[in-house]
Amino acid sequence: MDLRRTIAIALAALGWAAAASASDLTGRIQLDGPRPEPTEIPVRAKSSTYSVQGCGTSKRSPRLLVSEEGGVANAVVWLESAAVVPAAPVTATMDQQACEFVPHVLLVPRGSTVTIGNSDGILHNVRMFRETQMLMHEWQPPAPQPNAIAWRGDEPGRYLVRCGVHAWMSAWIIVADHPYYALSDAEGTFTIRHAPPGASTLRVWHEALGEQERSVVVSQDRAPITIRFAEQRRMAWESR
Amino acid sequence: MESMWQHHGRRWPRMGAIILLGVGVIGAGRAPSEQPDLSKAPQRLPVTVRVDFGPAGKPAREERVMVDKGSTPKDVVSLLFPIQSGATCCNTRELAAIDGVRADPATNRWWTCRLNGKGDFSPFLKELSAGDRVEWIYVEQLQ
Repeated sequence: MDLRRTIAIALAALGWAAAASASDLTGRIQLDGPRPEPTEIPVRAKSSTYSVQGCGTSKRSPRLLVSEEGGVANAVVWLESAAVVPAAPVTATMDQQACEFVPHVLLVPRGSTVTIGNSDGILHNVRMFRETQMLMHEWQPPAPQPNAIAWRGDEPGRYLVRCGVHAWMSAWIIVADHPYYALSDAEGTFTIRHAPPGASTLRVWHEALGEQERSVVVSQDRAPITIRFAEQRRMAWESR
Repeated sequence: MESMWQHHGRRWPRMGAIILLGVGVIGAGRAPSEQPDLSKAPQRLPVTVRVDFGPAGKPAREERVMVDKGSTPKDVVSLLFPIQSGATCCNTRELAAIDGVRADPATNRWWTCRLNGKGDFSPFLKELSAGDRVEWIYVEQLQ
């Protein structure tokens, strides 16, 4: 057996062993208490300079979307792992459709390129922030003019995207520094694929509900986790 | 043969007179600028400035102040409170904070400025006129 074949078999065996020992960590983000109705935002032009044609007359705020069973959408869930494994960069898209950013939360690995488009027939103005620091301020002409903006997420973190002329429009780009991240779906459920076994800290961030963390032990027979947020916390956050 | 010193000694009274005359001329030249020239004095304008902290929960403050001609709405608010500029929004001159109350992109809270009830101007470029009313308002926009 030549050396190359030996190495290939050894690598395959290692990969199989890793896959066999890693587990999918599943769970659900739950909001206790009465289900809040999304805020209805009346669509108004900032000034006569900026059009709202095609935006509709009102928008439902995407900041806190809760299912009938209390599941919270768009929560970012991740494992704080001591052994950080880089994830392969991807190319992703965030579009503006009917004066909304789609998707509202985009999760990408570090080094990924995000193309921010404008499918609307009106002018938009993309601004990107990290904390209070503005990183991008780009005018986007109406479709069908070419208007895509490419942005590369080289630094892990949370990036807020806003439209400067339509105040209700916002979105988040989450740049992850390892693969053990997930985004909760419309029912509040999430799956972190191939999570490394053993003790770890699970962290959750939601733009309206804040952050939580919990110690977990990842194993193949691990039951789904439920992370609960309280309505009081949301109210406290909103009134600050 | 007379020495150089003797030569200078004889010339000294004459040189001194020239120096004194020169000082006198320079002094005379400076004299007008030392007198208050009202036509060149910085013009002062009365304006009213109001700062409304809105959702930040601090009491609003309104004052009538005198400002130099050429002052802007950004200049005038700094007479009432410490301000902070930075790249919070739009350009690097944007007002990031007044009296520690910061613009916050995540909560959609911003400082906006109105001049005589209108907002279509740059608070960093617009020169104020006598009697202007400047309002800095901290707003939270729905999102």
